[in-house]
Amino acid sequence: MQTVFILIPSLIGLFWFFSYSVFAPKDKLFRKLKCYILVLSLFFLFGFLSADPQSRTMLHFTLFEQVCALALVPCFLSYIYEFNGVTTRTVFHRLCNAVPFIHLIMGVQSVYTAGFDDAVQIYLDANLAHGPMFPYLANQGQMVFYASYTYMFGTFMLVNFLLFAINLMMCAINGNCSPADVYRFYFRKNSKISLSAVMYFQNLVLLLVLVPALLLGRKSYVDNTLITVAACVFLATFVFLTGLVGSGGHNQKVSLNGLIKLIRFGENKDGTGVPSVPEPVLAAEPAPARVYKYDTETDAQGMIAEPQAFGDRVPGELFDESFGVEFENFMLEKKMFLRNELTLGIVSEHLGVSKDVLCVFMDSTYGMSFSNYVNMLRVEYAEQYILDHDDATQKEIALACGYSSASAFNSAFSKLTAVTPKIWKDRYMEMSRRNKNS
Amino acid sequence: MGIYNILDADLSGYTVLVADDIELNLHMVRKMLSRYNFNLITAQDGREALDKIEKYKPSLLLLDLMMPVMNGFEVIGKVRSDDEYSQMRIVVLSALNASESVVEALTMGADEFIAKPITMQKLYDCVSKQFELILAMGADAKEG
Repeated sequence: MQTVFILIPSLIGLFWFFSYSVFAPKDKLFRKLKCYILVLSLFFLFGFLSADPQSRTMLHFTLFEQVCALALVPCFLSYIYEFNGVTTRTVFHRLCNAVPFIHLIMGVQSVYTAGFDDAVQIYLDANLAHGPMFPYLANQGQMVFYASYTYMFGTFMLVNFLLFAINLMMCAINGNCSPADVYRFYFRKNSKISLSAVMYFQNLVLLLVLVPALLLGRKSYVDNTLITVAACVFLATFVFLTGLVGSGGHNQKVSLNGLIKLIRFGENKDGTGVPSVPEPVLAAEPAPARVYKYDTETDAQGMIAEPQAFGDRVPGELFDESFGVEFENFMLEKKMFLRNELTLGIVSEHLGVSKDVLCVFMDSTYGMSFSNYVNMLRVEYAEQYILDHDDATQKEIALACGYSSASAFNSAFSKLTAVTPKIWKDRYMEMSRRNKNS
Repeated sequence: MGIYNILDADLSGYTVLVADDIELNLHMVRKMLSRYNFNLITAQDGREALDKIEKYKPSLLLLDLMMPVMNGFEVIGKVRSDDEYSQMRIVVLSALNASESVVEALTMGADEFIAKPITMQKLYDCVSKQFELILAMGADAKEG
């Protein structure tokens, strides 16, 4: 499918670009279109090279996108050189023109990778128990609106501010999430958030680039420059303050120190933001202690230096055997993982710990985020369910396994097993048949 | 049986192979087993598992059934048909907990079946029990 929908259009687009540069009519509109087609092709091509149905490769996906974004620079420079002559003013102007389009493509790519339902769900649910790519998706989803509104109304900053506000409202309406959660959502999600941090800073840089672009570029992009600058300042302050002020129902204020710790904690050792499975090696790992403990490197980061910041229970006393048993009992014996509304917050509340402590526990015990763990349980459950319920529709299977829609289920299943449920079942049948014959 | 019985034992000369096509599962089992000091290797399909069995000769194999290239049943069949690996313990970890899968795996020569989802208790109990047997067999062999 990837070949059909991404690789082939990309190659056709590239071919068209290079062939058209020879035969192109000297029409400005066509040239502009040509430039956009090149951008689209490059994005899709890099997307194809990097996009794997499994979420673990989202990092590569993102990195390639960044590389692609860099590839745009000479593209647009040449475009500007060809038609307008190189001036600072036109460079910024063109950049301004290109950015929303870029984000529109990135948004489409994200929807392709994660599924439309998942992309929408993040807005409707604001549910922090989704997969590791969701902060990224939300960001891209936001950009899709951003891009479309920009084209409709011809203004950047005020719309961006409006979208932040909508994002916050959605979360508030849903009730699962406070402004503080949204803040964390952008900085860190579970324990694997550095990708989001990257995205956040990317946005920040974008703002920094766009402000002079707006000032130097065509005035028609903004109704009033002063209003735009004021909106930027207000936006930045607003986002920052939401993180400081919100208590998020965790009985825990986010202090400046706490924020720094959260950000530091969110960074993986390799800075990727995506859990990776180390290459198999034959070397023995050092014998660990008998109780569940934090990784020593996590300890070294000073993340648990102040126990009072993590809720009622003292972290040092947390990860003994009983905590693990309590957690697994809650998740497995009661089959909580099959409940669609299950969130990290619900589990942490049940266990009497903060979300942060639960994140540390998940990472140090299972080596994965809460959402990955839940998805793994659901997919394992689905495997047997599919076999036991021959006549069940995709939607029925999805609902039985804790997903809200068939596409969300398909997407999660494919991410883990690398095949769709249908192909998986066919493989199972084939396996059974071979076993019976042998 | 206590779950910490083998924690003090020196298992550095032993190797455990975990074979599962789902990377998250591998990652989780690896993390959970990091408390033991045996060597831990992983494989993501049946063919790779067989190659690593041949190369590293593990004492214990934790095996998923549904794997690409070569499934878990085939791996058990190959391993059990080779006398060289007759002492190797095989534990099947599978979400396919229908009785026919369990019976088939055990009939083909698996020593134990753990139904997914894997819990810490189940995994530690199983690994401890298997290593007690492995260590006992090793002691018998020396005495013999």
